[in-house]
Amino acid sequence: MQLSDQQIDYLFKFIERKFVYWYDLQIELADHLASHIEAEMDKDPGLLFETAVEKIYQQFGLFGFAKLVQEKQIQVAKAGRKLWWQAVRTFLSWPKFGLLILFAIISWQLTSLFDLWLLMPAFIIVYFISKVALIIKFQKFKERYRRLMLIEAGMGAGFVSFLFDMLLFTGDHYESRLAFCIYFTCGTIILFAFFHVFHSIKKQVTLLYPGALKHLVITNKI
Amino acid sequence: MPPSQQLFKGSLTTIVLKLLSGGGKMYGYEITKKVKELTNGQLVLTEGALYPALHKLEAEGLVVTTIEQVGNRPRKYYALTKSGKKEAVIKLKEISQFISEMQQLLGLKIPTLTIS
Repeated sequence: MQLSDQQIDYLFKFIERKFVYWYDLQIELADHLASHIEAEMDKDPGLLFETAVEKIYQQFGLFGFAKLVQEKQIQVAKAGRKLWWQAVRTFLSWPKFGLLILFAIISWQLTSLFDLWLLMPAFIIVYFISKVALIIKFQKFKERYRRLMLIEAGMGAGFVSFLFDMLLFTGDHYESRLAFCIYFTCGTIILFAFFHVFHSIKKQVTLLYPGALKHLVITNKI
Repeated sequence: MPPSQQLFKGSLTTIVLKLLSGGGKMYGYEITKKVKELTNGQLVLTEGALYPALHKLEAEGLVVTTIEQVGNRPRKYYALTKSGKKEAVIKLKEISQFISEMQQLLGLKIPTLTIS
């Protein structure tokens, strides 16, 4: 037997009542419950739908879906960090290694044209403005599709770049041409990695949930 | 938890990789059903163990997911990526080596039949 549309809606609502707010997880759990319920009802045609739901939910253990949600959040953050490092690593192999050399040459040339006391603050300002602009743009997207846990992967990438940001404000690198070159090159790569992570997540969302996006946007507006 | 179930939990990733390498794309409930079927109901793959394992494999880039509309509901399918296929071979090799070492260590080696 196959569950009706109303029963499928009931399952989505049931899952949400159990504190699973993310649509990507709801899809998986609703299908699992539905498939299992259908199999149980085939075996025992007298079994009531609501009883079957409760019976199968018990099999998720004492904490219900909570452990599953927690594990998923950890894995999503991990996937975000992995995407970030993947983007950084591309600069260590061709053809992007060429870009890395180009950034280094440009920064070295800049140090021979301008004073370091002018260059370093200018770089810091441009770096932070670009980073904030990227984050704001992604936040808007995140706000729009906040019911997808996949979106959280964007936040997993932040830690290493935060360490870099801290380094920018410390030390006496204002007198070293080499230090400026390193900061300029690393900073540009970090910005690129952020762009890559955000772009990959957006691409994944539109690929995986094309039908769901319209529904999600409408739901979020209410 | 029965002892066999404990051993089974430790090999969960390998089992999932092996099932996906044989049957193409699969969805969560299908995997639990397949395990039950292959072990004649002796081993039960619980939902609480399966989904975290699948999500971990997904985060590691070993499986890729697609969502398809099946009947009146969306269904998430898992399939191995190129690196997932390689990992499946490695994991199977590791587990088969481990089993043979355990058989030797515990003196459980099953005598091989020779046909003359």
